[in-house]
Amino acid sequence: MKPLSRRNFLKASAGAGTAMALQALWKPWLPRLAFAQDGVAGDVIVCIFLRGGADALNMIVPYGDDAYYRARSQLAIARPDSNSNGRVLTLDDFFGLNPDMGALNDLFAGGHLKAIHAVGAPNVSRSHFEAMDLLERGTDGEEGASSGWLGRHLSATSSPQDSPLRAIGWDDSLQTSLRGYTSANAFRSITDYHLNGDEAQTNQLMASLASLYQNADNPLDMAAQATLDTLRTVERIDVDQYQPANNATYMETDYGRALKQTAALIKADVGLEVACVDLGNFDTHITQGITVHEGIGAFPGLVSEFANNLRAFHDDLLDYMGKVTVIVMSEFGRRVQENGAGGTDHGHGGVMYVMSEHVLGNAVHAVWPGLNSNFLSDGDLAITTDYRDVLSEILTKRTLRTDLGRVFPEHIYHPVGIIAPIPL
Amino acid sequence: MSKVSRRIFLQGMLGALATAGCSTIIDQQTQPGLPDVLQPPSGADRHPIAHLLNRATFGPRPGQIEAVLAQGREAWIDQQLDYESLDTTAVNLRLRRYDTLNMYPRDLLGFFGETNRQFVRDELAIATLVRAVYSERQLYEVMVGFWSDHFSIHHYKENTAVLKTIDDREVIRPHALGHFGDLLRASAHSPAMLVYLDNVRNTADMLNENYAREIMELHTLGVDNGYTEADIPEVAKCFTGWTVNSLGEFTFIPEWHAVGEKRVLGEIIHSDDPLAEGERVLDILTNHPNTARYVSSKLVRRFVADDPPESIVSACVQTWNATQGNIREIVRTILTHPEFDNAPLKLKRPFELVTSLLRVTNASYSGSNGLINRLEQMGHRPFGWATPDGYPDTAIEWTGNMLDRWNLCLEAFTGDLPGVGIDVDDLRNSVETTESADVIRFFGRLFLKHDLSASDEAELLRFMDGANDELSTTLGLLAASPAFQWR
Repeated sequence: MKPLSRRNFLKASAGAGTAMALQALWKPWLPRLAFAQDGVAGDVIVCIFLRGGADALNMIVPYGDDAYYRARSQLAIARPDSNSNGRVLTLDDFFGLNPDMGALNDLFAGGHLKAIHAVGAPNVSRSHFEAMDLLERGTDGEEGASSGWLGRHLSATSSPQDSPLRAIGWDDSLQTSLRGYTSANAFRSITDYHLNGDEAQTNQLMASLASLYQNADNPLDMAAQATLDTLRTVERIDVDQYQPANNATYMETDYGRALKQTAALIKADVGLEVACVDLGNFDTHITQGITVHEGIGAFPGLVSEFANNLRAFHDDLLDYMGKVTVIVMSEFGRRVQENGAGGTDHGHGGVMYVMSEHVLGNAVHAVWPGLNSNFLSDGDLAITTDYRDVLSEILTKRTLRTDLGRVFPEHIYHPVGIIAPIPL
Repeated sequence: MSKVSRRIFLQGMLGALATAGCSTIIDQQTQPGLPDVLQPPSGADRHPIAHLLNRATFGPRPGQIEAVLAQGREAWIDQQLDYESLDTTAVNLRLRRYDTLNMYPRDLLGFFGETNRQFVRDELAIATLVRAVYSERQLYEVMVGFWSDHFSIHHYKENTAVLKTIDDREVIRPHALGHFGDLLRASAHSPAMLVYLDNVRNTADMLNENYAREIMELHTLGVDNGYTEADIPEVAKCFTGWTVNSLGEFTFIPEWHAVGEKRVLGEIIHSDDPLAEGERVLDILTNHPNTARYVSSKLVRRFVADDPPESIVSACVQTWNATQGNIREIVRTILTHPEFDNAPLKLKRPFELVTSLLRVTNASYSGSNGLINRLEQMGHRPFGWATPDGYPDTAIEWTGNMLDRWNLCLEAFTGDLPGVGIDVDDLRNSVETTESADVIRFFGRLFLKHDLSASDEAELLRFMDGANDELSTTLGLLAASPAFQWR
């Protein structure tokens, strides 16, 4: 069996110079059955979860809906035609981008990033814990599977040739969405992926393990050899020395580091297929803040961190973005009406983002339910797009061999039309 | 909380020992000793008693093969099956510190908040590991593990965090070597199971078919094996109203029960006593021939081979039919079957890797949580499997975490595995010479119960020479080698 290597794929798709540079830097690892027979690979899926319930209305602002300005006399972000420094950046004639997320403006304009608004889980709870649990499990309600949607996708598509680094959750313990796949890794840094013990002995240990595990017909020995290959590759990824491409700059935060290391692993070609990244503290009940110009509140800093690092990830992976899909979600949006403490309370409908070279249509997809009180769901933005339709579309169109019947058994998939399929 | 009870206990049992950590003293008192002389089996082939112990226990302890040979194979199996005759004082002393194991459901439900719930989960997970490593009732604990997978309940769904403790204590453990029908019935009344598989939401107005499907697909008949999709809502109707009250106990709510005739596997079920309808389903499933075959083949997979040999499965089915599903007799059939000794190797799952390593080295385990976290990292935390099919039991599912296996084995010998202590010198005292080759050969036999292959022996020697004769890491490498990953 001699399937096409990922390196060959990269040579064909990326600039030849990049591929050669890579060849010099990294020992390529051959993710054998991650490729279909004809050599087509599925995308790397990067799933970013904004924990705490991100205020969708102040990220992708419905400036064309007057009810937004009525409900948020303190917190509203000014219309694009205002004189304010903190006015929204126009995405279309109804939605605008939070100016603190300006780093993403080009990507929206260039068709590399898309927001899906008024999206969420129709039966979602307004409790963080329950809501995150529900979204990550991908079920209809509290009942149903306790494994995660990505865990089910990974186990439905797993093979004996899976890379040891096929799935990573950048956290101390595995995100719920990855549960159900025994080989998913949870760690904070690539530097955690190494043989433990005396560093002076590592090379000898690896040589001995290579010699002990040399029975090519045995699945355990095959897995061991793949692990040794991966270790040798990861060993060469010096996180401190890693130079992102195209002057991309990541922040030195958990979130920035996770994206940076995800990028490094994608370039290192270690067979990564799914990475889960978290950004927390979106639970802005008190003094949320509007934009950086006012200098108060946590929200401006959070959305800047979110956007700037996502932009860095895009630029760093410019030559690879054809084979990477980033999904961003949060457990719910926040209440339309601001509260008396300069913040917002738990809401319902929210916003998702999809970053890919293959997104379709306009910058914002929304079946807008309206913010007029008649249209709200218990005071909150109603949900007009089921988040599982977004996820289903990505799995169907950008990965191979997924089994939606296993991933979302209770859900009937209605394509949203956000992304183009891999040409086969 | 646990500190107080430990202290009271020690004052009564051992006198006041205020200066030292009490659990440390209990751990020392109950740690098994090493035999004066260790002469593990040699030869190229698998020792038949080693094979028996590799399947019927969580791994042989030093000297255990010799002990079983002296006792006689059949007598040892009889004794293990008659598990109540085996003394558990030592392991019970170790378990005293985990107070939640013995609490009432209503008290466990008082553990609000994620931190407290995790405390309850951890105590049960640790107790499971402590029993596997230290209990004399090894075969019984293997069966508890088997049924914990067969009637798998994920520890991370709503109140299962605390109710699984009750399920373990009152469903799995009392019936692990009893009759299958009793076990199935206990499971169907288990609050943790009813929560986990959503039967607490199964009402006449809004059927929830989750439990109905899984009890046929996973607990009894096997997938697509003797039932149709039409049976599922009918079974669900029979179980409407089987739920859990606010005290965390099983209760039946007649108002939730679907009235009228149900048709299950061709039988009309209709009773004046609505609770009897679900009970009737349990009888039908218990006595269905496909249940005997399906459950037997899973048992044979556990004890014999990933691909269960038909001859042994058939023998189990015969025993099942002759004894009305007496699990003890079915396990006896497997372990005494003439083909048992020919079984191919099974890959140790991470839990079995940990227990066999701790047992073969006579390691101390403090019962701390760190080792459970390591198992979680390796995808094998007790009760951590999210789907109701239980942890997989075939090699192919468990080759994904080689690095974690290696690190675990290496750290065990460098003192870096949390809560685990291995006294290498104590083990080494049984070797008369100090020649590296003899030492490696001895430990090879101790760990594997047969001689190392020539190439593995040469590689370990080569490593030890390069590592300034440092034994600990070499033993870690031996434990990390493929030969120790199989059982």
